Amino acid sequence: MRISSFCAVIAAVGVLLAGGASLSEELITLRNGLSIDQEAAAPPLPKVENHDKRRVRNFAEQPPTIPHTIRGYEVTRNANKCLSCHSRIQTGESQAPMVSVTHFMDRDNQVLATVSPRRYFCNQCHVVQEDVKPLVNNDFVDVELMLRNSEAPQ
Amino acid sequence: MKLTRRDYIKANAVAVAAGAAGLGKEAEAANLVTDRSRTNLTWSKAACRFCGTGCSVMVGTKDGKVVASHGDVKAEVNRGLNCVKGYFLSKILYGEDRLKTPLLRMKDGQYDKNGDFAPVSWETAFDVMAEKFKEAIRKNGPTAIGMFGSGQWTVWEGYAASKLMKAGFGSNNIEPNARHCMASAVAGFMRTFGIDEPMGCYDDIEATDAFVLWGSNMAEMHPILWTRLTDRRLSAPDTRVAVLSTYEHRCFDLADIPMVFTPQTDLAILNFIANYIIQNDRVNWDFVDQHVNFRRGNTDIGYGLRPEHPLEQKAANADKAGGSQEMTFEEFREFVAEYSLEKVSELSGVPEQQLVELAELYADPDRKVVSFWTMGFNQHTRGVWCNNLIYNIHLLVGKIATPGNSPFSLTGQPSACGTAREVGTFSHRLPADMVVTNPKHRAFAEKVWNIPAGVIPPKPGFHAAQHNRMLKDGKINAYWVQCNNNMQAAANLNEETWPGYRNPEAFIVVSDPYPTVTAGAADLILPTAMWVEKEGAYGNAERRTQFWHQLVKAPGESRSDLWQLVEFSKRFTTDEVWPKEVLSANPAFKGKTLYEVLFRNGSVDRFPLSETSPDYDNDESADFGFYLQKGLFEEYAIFGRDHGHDLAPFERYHEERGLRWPVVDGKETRWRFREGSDPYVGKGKGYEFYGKPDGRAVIFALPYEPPAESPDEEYDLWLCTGRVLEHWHSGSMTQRVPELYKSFPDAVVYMHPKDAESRGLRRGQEIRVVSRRGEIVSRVETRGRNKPPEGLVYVPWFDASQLINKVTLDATDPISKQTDYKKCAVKIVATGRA
Amino acid sequence: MSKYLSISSLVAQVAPEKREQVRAAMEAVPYVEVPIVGENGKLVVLIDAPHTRIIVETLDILKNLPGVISLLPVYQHEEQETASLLAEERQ
Repeated sequence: MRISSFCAVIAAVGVLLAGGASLSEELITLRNGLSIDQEAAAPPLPKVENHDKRRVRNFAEQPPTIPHTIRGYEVTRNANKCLSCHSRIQTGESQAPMVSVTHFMDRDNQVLATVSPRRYFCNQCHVVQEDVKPLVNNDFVDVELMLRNSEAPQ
Repeated sequence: MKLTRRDYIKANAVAVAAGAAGLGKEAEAANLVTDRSRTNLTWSKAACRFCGTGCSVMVGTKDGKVVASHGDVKAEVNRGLNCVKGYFLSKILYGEDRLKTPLLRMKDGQYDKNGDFAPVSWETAFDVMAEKFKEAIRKNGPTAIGMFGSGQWTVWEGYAASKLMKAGFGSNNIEPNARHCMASAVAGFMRTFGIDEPMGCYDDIEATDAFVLWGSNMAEMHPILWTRLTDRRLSAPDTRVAVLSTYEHRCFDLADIPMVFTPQTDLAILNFIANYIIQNDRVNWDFVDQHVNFRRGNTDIGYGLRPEHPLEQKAANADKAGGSQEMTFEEFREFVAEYSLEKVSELSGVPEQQLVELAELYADPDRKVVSFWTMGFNQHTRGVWCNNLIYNIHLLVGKIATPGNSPFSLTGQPSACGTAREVGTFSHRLPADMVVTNPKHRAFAEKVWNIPAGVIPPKPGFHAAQHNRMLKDGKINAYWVQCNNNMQAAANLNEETWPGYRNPEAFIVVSDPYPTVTAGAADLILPTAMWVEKEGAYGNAERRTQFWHQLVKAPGESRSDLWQLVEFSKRFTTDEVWPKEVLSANPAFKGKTLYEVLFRNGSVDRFPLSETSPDYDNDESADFGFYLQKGLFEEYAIFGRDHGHDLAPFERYHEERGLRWPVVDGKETRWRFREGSDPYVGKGKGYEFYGKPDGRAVIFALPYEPPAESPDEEYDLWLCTGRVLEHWHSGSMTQRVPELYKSFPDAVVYMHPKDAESRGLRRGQEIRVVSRRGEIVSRVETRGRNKPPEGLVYVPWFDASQLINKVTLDATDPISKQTDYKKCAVKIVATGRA
Repeated sequence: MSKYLSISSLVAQVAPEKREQVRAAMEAVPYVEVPIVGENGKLVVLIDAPHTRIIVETLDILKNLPGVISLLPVYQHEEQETASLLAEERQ
């Protein structure tokens, strides 16, 4: 399977430069098997997943990824576009999830009247997802699956 | 039986419906497991694996797997926060392509440089490797071997590597990738203060009134420090933020004084500020008279290229780049006088009004100010000068070493300070700021290491850029790369790194958890345990040393870098590597293995296994039969204690969320060089820069000099490279986390819309980025987080399929030998495809 | 990205004495499972269909089966196939 997907990728992206010794190129997963001295075609700019559906988090503390496009959103000293939907008082109208209560706490865990400035730049933790397939799968195991598995009938 | 996610959702659906129907008793399970004995996670502290900020994280494990992580609320650095990379730490261990066995290039069952990778045992791997290292030493001496390590090594890994190379193989050819990252900062500290690392700490952030960012995109590269800075700026509205860069980036979103300057003219801006302070009579004379000397640095020092390069031939002082002579304040005043407001504004492209506002932040005696810088200063052919010049400014006004007044060099890597710098894994260094060129320092190291005099060579080894050049030239023949991805990271891949690694005269070993670009170019790959698969220690940018325990087992036959280093030492005897005269003068050492001499030496092996934690595994110690990490740490700590670098006893670091050295009488030091906060400052001195013999720091006269390569008619754009928030360095970990990959999958070329338009390009179009050295294929991006001015493009280097270092120039700072990744000349042309 | 994961659970009220016949009839319908059959005639019904559209069609069939008194949807989960799901299925 690995070989066939490798060939498919090569066929899909096209190889610009020929030559170079055989160097077990398949090994370098993140280059889709292309040798270091060669150049693949660049994948097209992807589109942001924009379905507005919540995604399952990997674990409880993971910041949720953003399920919509944020193109042109201003988050500067003067304005925070994200909070125009996600701040507490806007959620009635926007029906967007409210920023988590943890975001109201300052460095000393004191609860403030509004979102703490330390949480001001949302993109430091919350990111969009482009509509692309991961290059490498990840074997991380969800802890709830782990619990279910460990209780499976003997 | 393995439950899939689909099964899980179905079980959930059934449980909910059963509950609704009142059939709970018949349901096999409720949709929530509540049994405490089963839902309990084991939570342990660890240092984040990524940047130099040094956040502490809590890591949740269950049944031998990392299942969750979050910011540690008890940690002063980050108080419960992480950036997006930090929140996904749990998944970096689990990329499906983890390496699980050594791989050797073979043909017909034998090693062959042009063979294909085949799995081999550790025994075979080390057999072949030892033979190649011995052959190289036999033929061409100890300078024919080399090691390229990391500011991401744990403290003991760096220490064991340095000891193995310098005290074992008698070779100074060991360098960390921190040479690409912090070398200019180190040389800046050593020149100005005579001792490495910042005097202040992160507490400065909450104490200051103004921040100036010099070539530091903290919003993306030090996100948690940026949250602290943002917190300070927005919660204390009189605080000011000035941002200087060669292109607009996310920090500009918070800037009160945003400044985009022409590359390299930061040198002139720095001198302008010194001039402004003097012209406006804002010098703090009490401070300057008592604590400062003035010196004139050598100029026309070249660009750290190969010696035959015309630029080096032309440079008057390429061979004495670090030299300097005494001068007076009057002479210094005259020296900076030429950096007038008008002239510097014109040179840099920054409006006069903004330059004055910036200078006032430093000159105003009622304002405290913190300067932050990272790669914009350090990756600079005059990087050491930039570091010296910023200290000039803080010293002239005495805004230093007090809370909120702080020239602060931020670190790129998690242990560039703790491992690369403090342990001294550079070709010229020994632990605790000592150097191999100093006979007293060598003698001290040989005494601590209990090895005969004369083993440590007095001549510095090759520096990082030279490693690749020497591999290409056939001067280094056996080479070990650990914990970095230098094929992707080093500049000028086409002309130096790639031909170096594939030189038939070179045998390349790469230790890594994943099949990186560098691993793919190797001859032998060793599968490596990472992060919490081993007990570790990192030292962050504010001198904070942090420990963690081994929390899970590494997959397959992976072993930590530490295990690899110590195990490999068993395969050499002193007779094979030490000079004959040293051995005949010290016959007791004859026939001993390096393992016996370096690690089974009565010092490293003095703590029994019973002292390891009963709650955690420690695979290396179990294997060697003693508490290896503790032994290495305590031997290493001898170098720094009573020497300005005191570390606390080993066990204490397993309890604390890190401590900032020097730790004297059990107390950490937050501000060095100031009486009352630094125990090394003498009574009544006020301030003491004790790294220098007379206790005075140095203000250096250093001019603006042009960069190594600038745009011209054919190559008409500046190229600046760097990182992005979502990926750590070369992406070997973060590109394997699907959420991080999907947030920023491929590199793009950020450019000004007018530059695109004038070349007939539109957003998303496929292009080639071409320099005199090589080219890559990428896509145009005219929107988004980075907004370059006309004439400059920005390309991140995390993408293994778009190796921008095929394009960059390997010019270095001639003093620090650090590469300038921020400036070279390129052109951009359409590929002609869609 | 056309593949969907679409899982619903429902509670059916059927005539208690016919519950085993109804269960058999339901399980003959594609994508339907009946994991729990209560003695009081309450059945837990699970639909695991490749698309939401099919669930709606299936509901119509189930409603009209003889012996079914009422059918109450309780739970609905829907998502696009993620890479990890696909990976699991490959194994």
